[in-house]
Amino acid sequence: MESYKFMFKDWHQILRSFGISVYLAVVGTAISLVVMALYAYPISRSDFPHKNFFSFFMFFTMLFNGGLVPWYLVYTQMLDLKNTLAALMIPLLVSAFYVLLLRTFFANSIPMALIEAAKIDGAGEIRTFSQIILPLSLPVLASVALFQVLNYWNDWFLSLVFISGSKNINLQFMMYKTMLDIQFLSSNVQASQGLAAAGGVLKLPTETVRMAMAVLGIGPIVFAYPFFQKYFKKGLMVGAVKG
Amino acid sequence: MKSIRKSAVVLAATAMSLSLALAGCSSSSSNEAGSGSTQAPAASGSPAATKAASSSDLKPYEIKMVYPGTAQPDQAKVEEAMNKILKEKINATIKLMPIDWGQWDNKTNLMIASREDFDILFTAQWNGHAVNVGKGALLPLNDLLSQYGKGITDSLDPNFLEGAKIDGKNYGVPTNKELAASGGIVYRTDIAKELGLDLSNVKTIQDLEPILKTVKEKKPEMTALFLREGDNFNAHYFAQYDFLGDATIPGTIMKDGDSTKVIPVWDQPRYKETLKITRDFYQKGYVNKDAATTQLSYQDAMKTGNVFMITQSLKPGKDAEMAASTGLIGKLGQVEMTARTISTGDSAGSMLGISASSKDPARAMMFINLLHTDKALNNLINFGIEGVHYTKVEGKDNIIKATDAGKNYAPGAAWMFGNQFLNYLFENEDPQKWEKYKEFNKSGKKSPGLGFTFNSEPVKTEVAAAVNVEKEFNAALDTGSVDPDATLAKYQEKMKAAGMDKIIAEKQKQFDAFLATKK
Repeated sequence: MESYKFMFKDWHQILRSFGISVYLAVVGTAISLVVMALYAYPISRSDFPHKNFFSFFMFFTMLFNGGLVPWYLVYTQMLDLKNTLAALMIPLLVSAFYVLLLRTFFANSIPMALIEAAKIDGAGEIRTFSQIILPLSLPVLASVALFQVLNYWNDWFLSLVFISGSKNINLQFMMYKTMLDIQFLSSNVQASQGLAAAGGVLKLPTETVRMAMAVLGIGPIVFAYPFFQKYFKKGLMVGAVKG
Repeated sequence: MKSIRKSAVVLAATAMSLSLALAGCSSSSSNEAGSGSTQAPAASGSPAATKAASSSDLKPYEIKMVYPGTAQPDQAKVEEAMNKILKEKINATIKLMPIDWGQWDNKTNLMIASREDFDILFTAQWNGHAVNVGKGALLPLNDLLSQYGKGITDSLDPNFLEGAKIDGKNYGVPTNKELAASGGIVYRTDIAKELGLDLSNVKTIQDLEPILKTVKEKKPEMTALFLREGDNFNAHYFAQYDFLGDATIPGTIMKDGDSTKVIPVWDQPRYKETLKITRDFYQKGYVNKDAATTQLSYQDAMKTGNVFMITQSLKPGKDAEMAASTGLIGKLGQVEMTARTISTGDSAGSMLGISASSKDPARAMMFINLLHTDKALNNLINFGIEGVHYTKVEGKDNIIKATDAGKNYAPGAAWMFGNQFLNYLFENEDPQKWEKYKEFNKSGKKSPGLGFTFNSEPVKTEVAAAVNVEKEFNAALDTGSVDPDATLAKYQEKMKAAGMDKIIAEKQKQFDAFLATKK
């Protein structure tokens, strides 16, 4: 109990970081689902002529990446996202692996006949996609959403790299920061000595406080699981096409 | 089918462009214009700015200073107050950019790699200074120093600049602080008094024996002597080994000797002797049992209140400093037990370098120069605003006490900014501290290796292997946790297998080359 009290002394920072984490998890996941589904759907269609090119375009990023520094440059200098919330969201928006996962689902679980039927009934592409394909793909969307929520929730690296100051950091990083500080100061004796000499004392939380932080960190995500659970159980395709 | 294709293409294209569009929707909260790559820096020696005759013929410029530390709530206020001084003197404004310790390495590496635009960077020998210089991240400063750094060269002990050189050039301006270091112990004076112990004539480690014995007998619940990895009688500051750079890489000379022959640490006469005594202490139960593995810092150990003595790298007033940071004010004393020596690590332990991406290196140098000479500015950045964050003690010009609002600006970074001899002193510190420092610095003996830092690049693999062997043995041996006679042979054997001889030969080669340039 003491630890929680100690932690909530700094409650406005915690609340802020908590809010940021929740916001990122919710909004980030929603946007990323839309974007990934929109990308995955066309490349799942066998009658789409550039399918292979676009598939490869996405797949290529799984094999090769530019490395940390160019990646950092793109976000900070090209897009100028340093210290923004967008910097915490955009890098995780599209994951090649999930796109391929979605594509496979769209291609294998939804019969072409269904799409053709919709077309004959006069639905356009967009309508087919939003009213036929997406509702039928709830299971895969739910699993990808769950993964993405977890990714956003557990991410601390983006905060580490892009955010300075404590205004825009998410909850995970707030906790991780203290760990990093402890690590650094225990491995650099001279720094800690200098710091001590100047009378600057790093307030490092005790073990119990860290554990309390961990509880706070896992709390909300625990509730996300049962919420997604019900989609996993749902069966697929209940006789949409007469065989 | 055509319509399908068309709209599908549109869909895919939308998806691809959406991610770009999203990026455009974000508003940047940082106030820097995201200009692309910065221009190549002016070659050192042709600084862009004109002579600093007066501030009026300088263009306004914002100096960005990156240093490790926690952002302070009142930082903006302090910046404002600093700007008043800076505007008048060099027509510049300052932006402080503290980066938390834990993120320091990561963030600075990225900033350097992406050539981000900033002017002044904290750098230190133990913090990859040589590596960053190798990357070309820092400008050589010798020309700038002679042009705009008069105040620095006048006030700074020349040993600082000499010791911090890399290939004959300075890439950082060392902070003017303690230059020499000696090894010794810090102990609890209150307990010593209670037990009637007198430490005034302790000269050697052996002299500590009866004292520790008494403590152990009378206060069995206390740890008489707290040792840990890096803080023990065999630590480089206590035994005076000079590792010529990184202390994890084998091959040493003695700081207090004259020999320039690099040899393994166990061939130094002091080594085995020290191990024996430490082992003896450990077996008698004076030392904490978990010495070899403990992760507790010496500070936290002291804070627990049941540690009598620790080993420390000393300077005047170290006991008072430690007392303040461990909450044992007035209860600590120190005993110097070794010669005072100056090595590269001591002289280059805290520096301000000028980034190669700086748009106006000359102005950055002027600012560093002010930190070294301007008392008002120096204390502003270290302690905040007078009357807000601290007040002066009645009738004393140089002694301050923190106010309640003091915690809103306490960066604790005085050792990084310029000249410590200009710092005000807190009430609980020795009012003579700076005079004592000066004397201390004068009395230091230069290590033969001063100014040399070993570059481990050519023997990277061997070093990695050697460091692992050290991890396995060093802490256990140095803290007396294992029997030195039996273990040392194993240690030597494994070190040899790791390629120690090759490392030492390389060290010797570089060191000889360095010595040749000095002649």
